[in-house]
Amino acid sequence: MGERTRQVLPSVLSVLLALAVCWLTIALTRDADTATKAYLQMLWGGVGNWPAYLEGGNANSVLRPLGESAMKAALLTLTGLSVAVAFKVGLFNIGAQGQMIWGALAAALVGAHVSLPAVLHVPLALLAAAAAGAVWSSIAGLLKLKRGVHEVISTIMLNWVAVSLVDNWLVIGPLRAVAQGHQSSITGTAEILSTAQLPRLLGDSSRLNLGFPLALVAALAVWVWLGRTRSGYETRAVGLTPEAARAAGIPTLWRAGGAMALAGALAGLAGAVLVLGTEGRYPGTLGAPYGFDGIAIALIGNNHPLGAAVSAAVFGILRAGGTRMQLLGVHKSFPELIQGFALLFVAGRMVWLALLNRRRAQRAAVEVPRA
Amino acid sequence: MSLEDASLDIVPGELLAVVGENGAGKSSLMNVLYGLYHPDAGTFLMDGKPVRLKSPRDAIARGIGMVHQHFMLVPTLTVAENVVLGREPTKRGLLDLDRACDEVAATAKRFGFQLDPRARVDTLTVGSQQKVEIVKALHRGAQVLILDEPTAVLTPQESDELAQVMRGLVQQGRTVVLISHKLKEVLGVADRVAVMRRGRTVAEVRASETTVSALASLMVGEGSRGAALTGVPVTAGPSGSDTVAAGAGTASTRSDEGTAPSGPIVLDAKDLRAKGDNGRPALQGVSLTVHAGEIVGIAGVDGNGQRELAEVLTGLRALDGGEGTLLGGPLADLTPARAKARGVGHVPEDRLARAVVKAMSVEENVALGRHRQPPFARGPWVDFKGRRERTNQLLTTYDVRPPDPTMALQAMSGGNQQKVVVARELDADPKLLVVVQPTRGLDIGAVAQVHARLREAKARGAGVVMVSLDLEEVLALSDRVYVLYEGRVTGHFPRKDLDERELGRRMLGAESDHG
Amino acid sequence: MHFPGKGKAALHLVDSQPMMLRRLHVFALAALLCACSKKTEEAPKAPSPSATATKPPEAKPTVVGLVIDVGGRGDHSFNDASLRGLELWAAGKKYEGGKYVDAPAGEVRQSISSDLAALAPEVKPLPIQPLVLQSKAQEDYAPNLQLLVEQGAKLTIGNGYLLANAVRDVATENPEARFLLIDSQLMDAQGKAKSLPNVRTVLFKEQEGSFLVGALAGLVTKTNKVGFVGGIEVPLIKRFDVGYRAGVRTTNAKAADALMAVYTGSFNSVSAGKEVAQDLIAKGADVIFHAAGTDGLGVIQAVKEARAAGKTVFAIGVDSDQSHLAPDAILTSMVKHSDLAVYQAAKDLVDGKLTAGEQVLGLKENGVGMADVRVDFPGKAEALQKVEALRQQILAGKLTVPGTASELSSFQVAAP
Repeated sequence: MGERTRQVLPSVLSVLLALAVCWLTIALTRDADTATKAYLQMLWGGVGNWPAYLEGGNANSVLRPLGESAMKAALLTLTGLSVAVAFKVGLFNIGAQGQMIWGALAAALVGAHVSLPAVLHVPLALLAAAAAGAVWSSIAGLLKLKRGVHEVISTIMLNWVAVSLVDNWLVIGPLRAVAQGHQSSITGTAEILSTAQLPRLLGDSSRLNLGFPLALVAALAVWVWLGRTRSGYETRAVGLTPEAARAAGIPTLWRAGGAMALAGALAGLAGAVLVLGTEGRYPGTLGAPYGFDGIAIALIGNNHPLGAAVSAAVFGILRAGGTRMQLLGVHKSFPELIQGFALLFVAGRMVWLALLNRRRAQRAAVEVPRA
Repeated sequence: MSLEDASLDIVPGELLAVVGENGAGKSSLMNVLYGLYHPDAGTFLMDGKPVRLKSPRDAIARGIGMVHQHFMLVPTLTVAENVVLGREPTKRGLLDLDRACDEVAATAKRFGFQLDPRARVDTLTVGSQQKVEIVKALHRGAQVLILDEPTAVLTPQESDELAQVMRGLVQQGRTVVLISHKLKEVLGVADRVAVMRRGRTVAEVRASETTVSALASLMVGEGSRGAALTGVPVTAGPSGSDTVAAGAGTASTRSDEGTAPSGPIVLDAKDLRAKGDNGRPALQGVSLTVHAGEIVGIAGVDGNGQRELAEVLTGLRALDGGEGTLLGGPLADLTPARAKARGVGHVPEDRLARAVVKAMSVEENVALGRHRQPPFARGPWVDFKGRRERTNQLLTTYDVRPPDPTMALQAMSGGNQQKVVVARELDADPKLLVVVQPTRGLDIGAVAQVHARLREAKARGAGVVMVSLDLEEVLALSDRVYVLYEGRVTGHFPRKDLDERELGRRMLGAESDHG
Repeated sequence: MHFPGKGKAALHLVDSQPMMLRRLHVFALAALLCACSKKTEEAPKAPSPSATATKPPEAKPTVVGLVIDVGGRGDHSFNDASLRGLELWAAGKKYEGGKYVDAPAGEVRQSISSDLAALAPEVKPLPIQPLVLQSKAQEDYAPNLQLLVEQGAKLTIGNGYLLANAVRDVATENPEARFLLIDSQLMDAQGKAKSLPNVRTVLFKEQEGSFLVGALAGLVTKTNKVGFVGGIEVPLIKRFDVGYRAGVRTTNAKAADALMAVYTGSFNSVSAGKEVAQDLIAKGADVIFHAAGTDGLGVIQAVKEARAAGKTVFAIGVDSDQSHLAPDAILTSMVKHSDLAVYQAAKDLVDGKLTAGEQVLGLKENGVGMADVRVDFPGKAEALQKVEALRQQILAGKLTVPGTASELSSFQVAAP
């Protein structure tokens, strides 16, 4: 079994097993037919109803679902990357939520209150979001490196601070947009200018926007950075064996702090993609549950940037399509359930590898006498 | 194999010291007595009857107590709670802490200890914590008390106090077995001394009838510089190392007479002071010089400051005092990066923690530390081609097996891992090479190779500082030897004056008898 | 009253907040439970050939879609009210075990609150098929609305002002489909009200219902001190506040001067509501009206506890009749009939009379009202009479209830 297979196979098997378990759950509580149909609905909802389209259906029946999946995949990719990058230096970033919230707010403010042509406006808003996320995660980074505060604790706390500060105060208080006409209530910031919107790539009806390629580029960039640059190499060394990295003259604190800042920047970008891509403003409540999904995405992706992108794509499809399961009376939470099971099974990576190794050993044992 | 035909008689009511070099088998023997190890052969008689101890629980039941070098105390519990742990007095099913305190206070008083049973253990000094351990053993009815290197963690004052405690216990009819390699201490307190060497008890003498230097001679072994101290598996006989070195084909043996060092000075350090990991002084004024083109051996029993010295020289440990020049720069503000930049190579003792990233590939490990320069990098990018070429070259030159640059380093044997480290450090063409225990755990072939490489570095004009617990290794390679004892230089021998017996005595803290 | 944004979504957040471990547990637990309990929460079955085949073969039922927010089914409040209007009243069905079953007529009747008693005979099942989608996140609103349109919904309802922009976007994209937006106007990017030819929006005059409960509070108070607990200070909540003040001022000028209004700043914190209410009670308030979502549950708790300690204190519920939460302590509730608005739109659709534009439903239109007073207090009969008189004045258009602070300042108390 090649090294690559060893890395990929447990995740693939885990996702498949999770799909099977949830199928069984639906089949047992309803019936097998419903379960299969629900899965088909999820698939059509995720990648588009190709059979209907090929029979002469509306192109939108494919483009729309693809747009929804891509949008979710973009958010999951970015938060997944955020967790994975921090993990590379051995830090567990539970704080993607808070970082995403600040990123979303920064993007919303720059998007609404700065006047620029689109070619500058979009990059500036993205940059602002990345910076905001990075600042927020760096608080946890500094606490860790200077004071030894465990990052799991500090990032969780910072999540609460971000939610309380932004969701529960700023966007319904000082930064709330004012509706003209006293009857309407708006919680959330003012809508962004059209120059700050992420352009849609498949026409107006599909919400697939620049955020998706942006997320893919981010994944690719992180992969290249980790694998092909000096600083990426140093970052990995710090994560794997900090003492050896220190002895090799690597500035370990800088690398750890840098990775944490990058993690925050990626989560901040996720916030920007949400605001600039689909919401058009910081909504009354963001909550940013994608921060937590990022943990699952990163782990299922084996903390590999491209792995995270692939697992984000898979779960983007499942979750965008999963809504459609409701049409068959299947609960809306099944896509998350599948994700949760997959995470649970991936956590048993070692068990998978042991199983796979045993099979190989058995095969070898069978083959030896013949040889 | 750590015990080989060891015999020990323990007489009730006496203080028996067991001395020996690191790895001589003292601790192993004591672990047998305490039921932690099970002997392959031999008998254990208590009061004339054969006994088989299956576990420490058995040992405790038979009145044997042990105070380990590392205390087994719960820091957040009180003295009394620690002492009664596992056999707590209860009242109606509930823990009766008052009774526990009374009992512990009584035990402490009986043996003359000053201990507050209600004090939390983490508020106590190390010396007091040790007393808690002793009281714990006594509280469990220990008749025979084994103390493993008890003074290793104590200040001199605390050590003196401990000596009084031990004598007091003996006067009360208890038996004390003291494990130590500090001969002066031992002679000050013991009734009888058993000397161990290479897994055997080689002598038992009355403390009043011997001297430090006599004991040191017994420990090191008469006329045998092949005395196994630690580390390298030795073939047999005094000439073992020479044979090995010759086998590597590049041997310049001891007869390669080094005269006075003549190369430029690469390291000139004065009065170095540094703290150990436990915060206690580990270097207490070490001065040494190293010239280009020589191997300077640092001899000493484990834990006498060698590791800290190596860390100071490589920028890994901050200096507490003293000054020096290392390759043209001050020693005081050395960091690992600066040390590297000045040309310091480092083969650390703990390879997996310090020298390599075991989850990375061989080539990535070859690049470690030099990954910012060609041929390992081009601008901000990793130079895959250059790295691969250089790695292949090194794997061939240093005979690393398998010669697969993409293999995860952890999949290699320890010897080949070490070869990778040595290859990397030497390939950087260091001006000062600091190696610690470079052959620990390696097989004979690998040992020979590493030795040959060190000589090669010397020949190329590097100054080499070699810390080794293996006296034979030190003798075989060094042009000069410094002996460290308790963070101080207790001996300095140019090659022509090397006298292994004297070296051994200095390592054990003995003052010079003659010279 | 409804606080979709802060209340529910934030509650959802509480779930997702703790670490992954908890998440794992939740998932694992959910897996074990979904065989039984989860089912009760599931969404309706789509119109499938088999489902329609078993129905009396009249006309093929018209599909009416409803997107509810992240608060989901079972919030005992706003979502449930709209679901009631669609499923129970309009379709004559109730949702059980993941399927719709016909609801007995008695149950439909029972679910119609007393202030709508006059309308009850008119509520009859319509030939419609409800199709409900729950949303998991803010950005799901638009695709869910779109999905319902694609599933052939003739009318698609967005429940709550959080869906305003989603309804706007989807309606613009699907000009042939028709929409109903509850609790908000449509707004353009600048926050200006706008209208679309295929969207009906419904707003409520919360101030009118609040006026009535305020008038009652002014009559009931013995200490001449009454309190108001609001959630977040948005125009919607201000309407409750202002209407209540006007009501109190009408019946008890002294109490109006001493009226204590507090905003908790959240819609999702029981403890915040409780603290504030305890404070008000300590300061002597004996009637407290809340418009604070989940915080209001804390208000009711505080009042219950004060009563247990021997004080005579009442709480006034909001949104739906909250009497069942604390039968002794709830004086009445200011009810808001999104159920009726939904039913009415469905009926208009079936009758071919569905119009676009903005509806503002007040007391007269049965959009808001005061629930039955089920507790006893001295002078109950006269008090109810007075309140009824005021109600009649509003219905007759003789009394205009202020909805904003500036209107309140110029509000003249009419002679009772």
